[in-house]
Amino acid sequence: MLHPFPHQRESGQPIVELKNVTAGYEGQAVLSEVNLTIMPGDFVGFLGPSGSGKTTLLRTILGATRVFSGDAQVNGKRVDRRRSLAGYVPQLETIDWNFPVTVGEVVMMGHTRGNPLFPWHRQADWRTARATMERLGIADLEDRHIRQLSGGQQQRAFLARALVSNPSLLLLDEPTRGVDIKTRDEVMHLLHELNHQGVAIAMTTHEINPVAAHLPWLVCIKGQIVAEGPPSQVISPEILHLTYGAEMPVIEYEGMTLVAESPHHFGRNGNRKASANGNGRAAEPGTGHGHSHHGEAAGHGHPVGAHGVSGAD
Amino acid sequence: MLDPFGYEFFVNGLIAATLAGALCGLVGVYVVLRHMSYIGHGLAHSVFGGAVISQFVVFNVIFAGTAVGSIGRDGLGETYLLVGAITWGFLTALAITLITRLRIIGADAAIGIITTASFALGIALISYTRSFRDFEAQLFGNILGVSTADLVTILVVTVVTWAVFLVWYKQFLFSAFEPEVAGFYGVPTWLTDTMFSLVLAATIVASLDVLGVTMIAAAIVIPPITARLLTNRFRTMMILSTVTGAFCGFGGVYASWVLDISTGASVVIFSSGFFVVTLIYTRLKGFLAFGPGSRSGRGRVSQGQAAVFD
Repeated sequence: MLHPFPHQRESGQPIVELKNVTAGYEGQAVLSEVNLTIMPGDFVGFLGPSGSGKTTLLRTILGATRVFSGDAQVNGKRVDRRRSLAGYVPQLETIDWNFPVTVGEVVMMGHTRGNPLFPWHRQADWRTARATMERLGIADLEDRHIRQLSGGQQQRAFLARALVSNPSLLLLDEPTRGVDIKTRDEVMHLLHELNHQGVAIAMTTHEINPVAAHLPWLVCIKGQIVAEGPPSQVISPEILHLTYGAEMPVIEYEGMTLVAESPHHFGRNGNRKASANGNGRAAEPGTGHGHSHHGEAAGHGHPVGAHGVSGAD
Repeated sequence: MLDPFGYEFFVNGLIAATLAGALCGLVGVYVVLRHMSYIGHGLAHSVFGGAVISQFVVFNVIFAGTAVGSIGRDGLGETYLLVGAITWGFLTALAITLITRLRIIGADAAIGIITTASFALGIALISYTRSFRDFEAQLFGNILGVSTADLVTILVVTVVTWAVFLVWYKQFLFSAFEPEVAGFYGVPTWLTDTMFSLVLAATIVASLDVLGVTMIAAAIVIPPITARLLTNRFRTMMILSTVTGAFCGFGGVYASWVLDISTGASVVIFSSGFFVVTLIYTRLKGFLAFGPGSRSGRGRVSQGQAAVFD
């Protein structure tokens, strides 16, 4: 289990600052009127269903979308794909695992931006790469092919690539998608550890119980920012309904906030003392009792506008 | 049997095939890893169309009725022809990349349309003018027609291609591995794609005389696939693929002399055979190392390596 700690937002210059940003792709705005601030040391989760725009938000911070209106800045400069200073970790599912690269070669890709016209990497680059691999515990895997790694090691290799250039912000697209429970736990612990070492992290996720509930700060997205705040405040039936468009009872169980992601019975299971999560997606203990939600969990969130979020209805 | 090395034209052809094989092997690594194997086949057809069109323009429009028109192969017209064919191939490759990137239609469909249309245009022009040098040689490859000028062309393209791949190595590696993410890490993907299109077009034009339109795809695909069976490293794969290409070019042309068969076909059959031998060798080695039914992902010969075909 992960133990969220009281999150203190640092003061100073924000890393990411989006002001009334409407962004998307050619001729199609996916996000509208987004206001978002990420401070140094933050660990933010973008929560939302498929197609809600959470990945678009990540790409906007990278400068890889079209900003139709508003101002998107990273480290005080307007976002630009060509000089993006954030470390990016793609979804592992998108990787071609048959590609002939070793862990070392993947990590060194993080240094592509420096001295572009020399095929050889500098000694200093190799040193930082080795130090990063050491830090993530994959130093002895340098010559392994990427297919010959466990799920956790694969994630570490791509994390190392994102970290070699020592970015102020780490962006991860669904780092827990398509991995088993053990790997998910390993990855989330690792991310918290990196965050404790001072790396600001923003990641997307669609998983509420196993991932989002353990993050210090959540941003709920559905085409715009629905709400943001710590999970204890954001995870409420009201906000979840706005985000997912579905009824999701929220249960407080021994200090944990749990969401019955799929409270309805499928088929004719009405009489059985059946699981509330009929499709078995919520793998947390304690959700499977079919209790109705506790009223006090609701209504504490900061929907629309309460956190300086404006423009949403 | 006569000693073939006594004939200058044969030695020329052998050198040309070896160089062309090495060139296609190197360029093919990127083609195969980007899952664009069909592009070599398409571009060869396209370049053929381009060559016919530039020949038509050069001899019938620009120098119509002048002395240049009758200079022939090694004259000024040849240079125009080369430039025309390379430009045409480059523009086709670029159009394919652009259409694919903008997601108008899939890469396979884009290649199918553009290159076939270009090839058809070439055929239409040939049937109209009823004159095109070495028509059959262009289609199936022929070493008898390799001149010193052709040799120089292949050599120049080889040197330039090596230089491009050496200087832009990191960018090529990253954009072949993850075309989109590479952009987030500062790789100018547009420039990389453009340079690759140029190199690929030049490679195909230079190899056309030796390997022929219909056989060139194999020369681009087989050496990298064979190299992939033997290594898990991008760098090693590039070197092995180049060596394999050169070996198959040499062996194929020599075999074509011995067996008296078409050069292009001979090179393709030779390299296919070499691939099969390599495949059996690696499988056998994996079998001996890990035992029957071993599904271990470790070791030099793993399940993953052979799965490169999907």
